[in-house]
Amino acid sequence: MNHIKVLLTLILISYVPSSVLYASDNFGAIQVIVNANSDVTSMTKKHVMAVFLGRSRTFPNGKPAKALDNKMGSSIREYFFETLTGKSISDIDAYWARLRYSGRASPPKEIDNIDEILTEVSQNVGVMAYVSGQNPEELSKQGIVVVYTLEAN
Amino acid sequence: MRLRHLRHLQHYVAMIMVSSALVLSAIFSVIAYQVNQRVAINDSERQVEGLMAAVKNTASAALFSSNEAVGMDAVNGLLGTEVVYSVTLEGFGDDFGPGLKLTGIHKNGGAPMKTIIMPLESIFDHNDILGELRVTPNELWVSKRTHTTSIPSILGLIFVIFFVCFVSAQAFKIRISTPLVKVRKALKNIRANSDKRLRLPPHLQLNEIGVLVDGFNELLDETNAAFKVEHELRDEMQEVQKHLEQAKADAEKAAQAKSDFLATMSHEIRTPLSGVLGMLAFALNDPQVCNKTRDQLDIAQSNAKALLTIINDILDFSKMEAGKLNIEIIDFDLRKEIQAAVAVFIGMAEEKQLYFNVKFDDDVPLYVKCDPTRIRQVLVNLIGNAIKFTSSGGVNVQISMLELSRYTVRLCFSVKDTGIGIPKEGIGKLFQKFEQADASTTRKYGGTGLGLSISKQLIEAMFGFIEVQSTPGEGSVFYFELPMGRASAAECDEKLKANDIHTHKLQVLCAEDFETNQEIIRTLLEGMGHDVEIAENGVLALDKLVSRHFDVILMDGRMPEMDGLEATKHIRSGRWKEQKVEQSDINIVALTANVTDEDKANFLSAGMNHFLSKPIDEVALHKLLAETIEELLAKGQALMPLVRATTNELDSLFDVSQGVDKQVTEPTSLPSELVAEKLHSVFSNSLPQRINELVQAINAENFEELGRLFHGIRGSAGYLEDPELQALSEKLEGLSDQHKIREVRALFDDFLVRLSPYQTIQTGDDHANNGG
Repeated sequence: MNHIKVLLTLILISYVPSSVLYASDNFGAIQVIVNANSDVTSMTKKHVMAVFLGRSRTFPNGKPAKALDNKMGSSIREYFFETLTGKSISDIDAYWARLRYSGRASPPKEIDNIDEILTEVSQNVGVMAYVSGQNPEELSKQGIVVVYTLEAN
Repeated sequence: MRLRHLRHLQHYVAMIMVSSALVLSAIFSVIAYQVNQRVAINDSERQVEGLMAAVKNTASAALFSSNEAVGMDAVNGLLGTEVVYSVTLEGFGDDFGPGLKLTGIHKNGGAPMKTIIMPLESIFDHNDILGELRVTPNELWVSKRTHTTSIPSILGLIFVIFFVCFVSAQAFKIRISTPLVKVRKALKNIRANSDKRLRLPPHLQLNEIGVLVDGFNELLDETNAAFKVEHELRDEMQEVQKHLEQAKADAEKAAQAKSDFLATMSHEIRTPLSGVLGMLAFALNDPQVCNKTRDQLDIAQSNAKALLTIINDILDFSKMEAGKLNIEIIDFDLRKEIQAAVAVFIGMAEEKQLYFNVKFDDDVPLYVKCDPTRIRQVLVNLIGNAIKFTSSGGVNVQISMLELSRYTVRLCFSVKDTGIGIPKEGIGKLFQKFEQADASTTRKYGGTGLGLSISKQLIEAMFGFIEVQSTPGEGSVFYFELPMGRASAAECDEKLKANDIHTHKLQVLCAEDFETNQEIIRTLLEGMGHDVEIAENGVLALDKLVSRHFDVILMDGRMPEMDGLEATKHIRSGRWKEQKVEQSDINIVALTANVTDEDKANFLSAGMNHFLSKPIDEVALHKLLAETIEELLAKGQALMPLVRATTNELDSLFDVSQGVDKQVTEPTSLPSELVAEKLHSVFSNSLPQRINELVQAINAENFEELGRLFHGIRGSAGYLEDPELQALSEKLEGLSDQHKIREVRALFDDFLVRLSPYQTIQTGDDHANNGG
């Protein structure tokens, strides 16, 4: 019976309808940033996706990578994932819900404040996050490099 | 066909239907099971596919994130259903990781099923195949599913099949069995020779039952035709049967008529012959008869005896024909009996100058038990023949013993002559009826040709056999063997002398209608010393019996008014004309010429004690009366003793009783001439009354009475030695019996003319001139 409950839950979750898409704010380009000491200069879209969706925990050079996410429900997060994967944010959430349900996987840590995100990235090697509208020179002063820029469609 | 066989037919149908139903059920069950199994397999696959689709995203997510726990959740989720047997979740691995491989197997069931493979692509990129999900459906589930779906469907199928079979059986019953039973019932009601035919409802007329019924109807037609033929045959048979029965009745009637005729003939012939013999005996007893006359009388007597023998032969023969011949077994002295039998031939042999010897072997017993009369008869026949056919030489008779035991003896009697002999071809015919060796023999020697046939039958009736050996020209030997019983001397001693008068006087009542016979009986009885009273018929005899005492009655069988049988019945009943008959137990002796055994039985059953046949044998009568005397004395009845009477006394007795003038006869002689004369006068005296009766009978056309009267006159004419009158009476008697009144009337005048001499004599004393 327990198995069936699990299965039913899984099925319910699978069919949660994609929530109403957020109005696409004009975020312009989204910048994927990492600590300069990570020795990473650029990343493929696929690798970016793999790290942010929990598929990969390393950089292309093999060094450990850890993703930071924006607050759930924030426009940038919605915009970022929808643009990155081509899926609605609810699909993304459903995905994480499945992984979380089994209890052993957890989504990236969410941080509500852009400054705090920048701080985290600049202070910790291996941390990876996404921001929008930052000046890359400003960023490099803080020891942050943009490894991938997600252009708006 | 029996009804139960039809039931069998229905059983067959039921059995066939049930077996078909079973086979069909089995086949359809297998098919249904397979179909259900296929459906279940498809079901399982569809369910599995559905389940796989449901966990696809989770599985993809697990592969995408290489998260084993999530993968296990998907795998366990699938295994949580009965329909899944094994699950394999495999990630292929790529730049981001080595891939994931998770498997799970259900604890129950098996997996010889097709594995369903589902490729798992990345959730975020449909072109990125991360791995695949392989699931095998559970056979256990399939079989369970198959069972649960199969049972109702198979049950339904079986029900349908059985229902169809039942309906078919019913249809068979309605369509075939029931019509057959009806046909059988209809057949049962159809009787042969009826016009009914089997009819069928239209729907059956064209099928096999119709053909069958047509066959039956044809058969019925044929049967009816056969029945008709048989019926006709039966009718014919009945007709033939009727004819046969008629023929049989006719034959029996003819045989009866023949037997009656013989009885009558014996009576008719013996009655006059007894008269002849009686009178001859009286004449020969008369010492006054001179030698020449005596010789003539002797010849007459021997001729009369020969005639009697011939008549007896013929009677014996007809009795044998009718199977009525009786053999009596009595004790007797063999030598005495045979010597007495052959004595008569001594004279005959001497006359022909032949030797004649009779020799008994020494060991032949003296006394034997057999029928002496028959032995005598055979011997007399054989010796008579021997002497007849021998002209020189002689005849030897030899009696020898063949076997002797304590109680029986077997003797051989042979008669050997030196006569003409018998040709070989004649021997075969010798013992046949009416046959002699050849026809010329009959012409030369005469004879009826019955003697040897009778002898043979007599010997065979006594369990013996007779044979002959002969050489023509040299002679013949006839011999016969007989088994006999042995007897002692004491049983054979009794010999009576017929002429002796009895020890005691009896009062005798004699019922006899014919005067001649009355005379003879009276003479005989008075000669024996008895008192005689004559009655004309049964009525008169009864009248006399109630009026006075008698010791014995001699009763003629055939009398007018009342015959002997009826009279006897009256006597035995003890009442006559309102009077008591005191002597209802009196000895009654039947006296008649009717000598068949049947008649004897009739007489005895009517209550008569004894039986004497006519012509009356003096010896037998004497013996019978002697026995009667002894019997009466033993009963204590008083009888007058008789002194031995002399001839004179007898003569005087006779004369007195007849009322004849004593002076005409010598007192010491037996008046034979007088007897004849007396007969004459008795006849004459009765004549007027007779004629009167005759005229009355003719006028009344009473043929029975006429026959009787003519019969009586004929008998008297025999005694009176008037052959012409006898012949005429006989003719008239015959005509009366045939009821030919006209012919009787025509002859009656002649008859009266023929009677006139007697009327003359009667009246001669007074009216001599009136004769003619």
